Amino acid sequence: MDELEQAIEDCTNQDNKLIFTGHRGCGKSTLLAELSFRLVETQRYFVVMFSISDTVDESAVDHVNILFSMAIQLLEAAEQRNVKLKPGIKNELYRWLGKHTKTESDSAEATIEVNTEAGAKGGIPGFLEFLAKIKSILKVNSVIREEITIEFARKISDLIAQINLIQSAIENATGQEVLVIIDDLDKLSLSDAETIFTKNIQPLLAPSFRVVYTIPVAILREVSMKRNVEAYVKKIHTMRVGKFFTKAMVRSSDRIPDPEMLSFFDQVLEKRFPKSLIDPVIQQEMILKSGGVLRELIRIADSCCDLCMQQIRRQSRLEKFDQPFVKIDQAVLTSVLSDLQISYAQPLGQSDFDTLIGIYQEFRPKDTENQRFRDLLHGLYVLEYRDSAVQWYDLNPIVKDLLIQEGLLDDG
Amino acid sequence: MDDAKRHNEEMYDRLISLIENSQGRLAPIVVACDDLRLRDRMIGRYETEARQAKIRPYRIVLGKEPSLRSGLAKLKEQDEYLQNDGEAVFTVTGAELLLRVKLNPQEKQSEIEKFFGYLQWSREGLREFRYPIVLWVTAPILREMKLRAADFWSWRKAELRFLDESNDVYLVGQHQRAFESYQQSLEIRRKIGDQSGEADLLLMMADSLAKLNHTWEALQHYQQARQIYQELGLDFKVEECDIAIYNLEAIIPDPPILGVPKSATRPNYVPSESRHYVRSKPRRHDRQKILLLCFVLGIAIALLIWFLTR
Repeated sequence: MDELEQAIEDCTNQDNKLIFTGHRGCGKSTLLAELSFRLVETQRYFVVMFSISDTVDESAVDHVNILFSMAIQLLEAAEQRNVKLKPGIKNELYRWLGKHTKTESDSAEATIEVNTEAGAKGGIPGFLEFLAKIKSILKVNSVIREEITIEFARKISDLIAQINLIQSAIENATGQEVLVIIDDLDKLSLSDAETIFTKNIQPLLAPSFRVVYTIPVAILREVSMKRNVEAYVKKIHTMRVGKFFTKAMVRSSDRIPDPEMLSFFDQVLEKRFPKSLIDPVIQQEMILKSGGVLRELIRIADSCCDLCMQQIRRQSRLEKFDQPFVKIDQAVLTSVLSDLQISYAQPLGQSDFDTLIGIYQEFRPKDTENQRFRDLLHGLYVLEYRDSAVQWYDLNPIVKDLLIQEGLLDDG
Repeated sequence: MDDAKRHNEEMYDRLISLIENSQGRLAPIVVACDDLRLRDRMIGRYETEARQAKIRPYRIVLGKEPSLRSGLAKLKEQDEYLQNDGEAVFTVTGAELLLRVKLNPQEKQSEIEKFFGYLQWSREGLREFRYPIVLWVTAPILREMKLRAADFWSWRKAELRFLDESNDVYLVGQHQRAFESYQQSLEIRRKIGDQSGEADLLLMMADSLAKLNHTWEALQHYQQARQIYQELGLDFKVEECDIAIYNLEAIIPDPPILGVPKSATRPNYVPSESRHYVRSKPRRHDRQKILLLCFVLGIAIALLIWFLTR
């Protein structure tokens, strides 16, 4: 987060777009939300963070719709935070929005007229309803979406100009610098991401304010795509999974997990259930089995809790109230890990096992551009770590246990 | 059979516990069950229990635009109880009926592709539905979901699998009807040269044949599908065929040498503790064929030796 915050602070007018990525479940959205709060607290930034899936359907994501969504979200944030935009500019912006969501333009303009006149009566809810309507139209009405795309694809500078107008209006009214964070662009398919971030990246870099874009982590594996993005931005900021061991120590029988990382994951668990419900040794094992992926830690912990609740329910149904206190013990954890092993095992074929064994032995695949390796990476069968400048790979601990159980790897 | 019933009872136990303990939280519970009658029984059972626990059940059946989020939103819009955050459980079915082929070539995606797309994309949009959402799919759809809706998959609350308990007449009729329907669609796909659609249909036909215990025909259909997927470079579908062929060949032995094509490469991996791969012994009449072959070979060798030494 410090790295991103510094990068935002260091932005110049010519270089104020940040690209951010990371593996599924590593905590990107949480980090961005935390970053957003941190920056708002400085009172120097007017931060607008939104998920692209809120405004655009998956099949319709393109550079035009991303920019159009930006415009809507900026206006909505201004309304919600009671930013006093000059009435003339506001009317112009709302008429422009109404015009470009064509089929509703008559009622939209009527709404603008009504709400402008009703300004003295507290027209803000009316504007918010209007914006919500626009968002809904953009999401569900493919005809209007396509018309917007066709119109602005030809004259993208008009759209950029409107967005910059909104930015100026907000900055003049608030005295704060606009920062937009767009989450969930990393959910796009690689082909859609290629179209947007390589063939159409320049319009996305055109707004005059700071923007943080998320991108699919798969782009980092496509040499040409990565180079294309890096040609336009200083750096692709990557969030990594937590790392408990260095490459040199990970296979050692007397390895000790990184205490700082362990403590961080301990705190994540302690916020979720009391210490009395789990033995510290079991808790550490749970943390290490996550491989450093936060969401997987939550999944393991959550599944353990579900299993305990199931036991309690069974006891209650059988009226066995004299049973020992139910807590997360070795049997519970083992059962959960066993279920997760089965889930991981399902889609695997022999060639996958050969690949996994090779990665375990060499700390890297034979070919990082191989599609099946990428599937294994994105499916968290394989995890990526970094020691200083050295990037290495290891198996998800649960997948490693699976291979040991099948006799494909030696225990220890 | 008892093992399957025992396993399914355990799964049901887990499911009802998850439904009761997930109120007030978004909890997508993905359940794989290929036996639709079993599925309906389980749904009826947990809905009854849920009502007793004052949890109101709702149902969504996926249609041509298979958006889970839209279905939930529509229900909530029309129901005051949900708008007031009453306790509820949502049951979603219909994924098994989604087409894997594009009936209209101008459409960008088939229904199943749209379904995965909606799941993947609207994950954030599901946050407002703080309920257990039980999404019933088939085992093949579950496997595909992990790859094609990986972010939604990553957000799942739980994954449960029910095993097939019976092979009764109702199921036989169901699979037969499905097979006939797929056959009709296959002719269309071949006519318009849709290779991907053809392979998908061959795979589905193979699944139906396997369930009808027409194992040789099922094997041939899996092999045909595999070949097309291989030509199209769809490695994950090739793997799916390999796993299905392996399971099928665990029930039948390698084919006799004369007159039957060789089986595809079989994957060597079968999870040793898995409940989902069932091995059977080779059939008696196939062992007899092998013995006969050995006898004939022995006679041929003896004749050769006699001829060379006379």
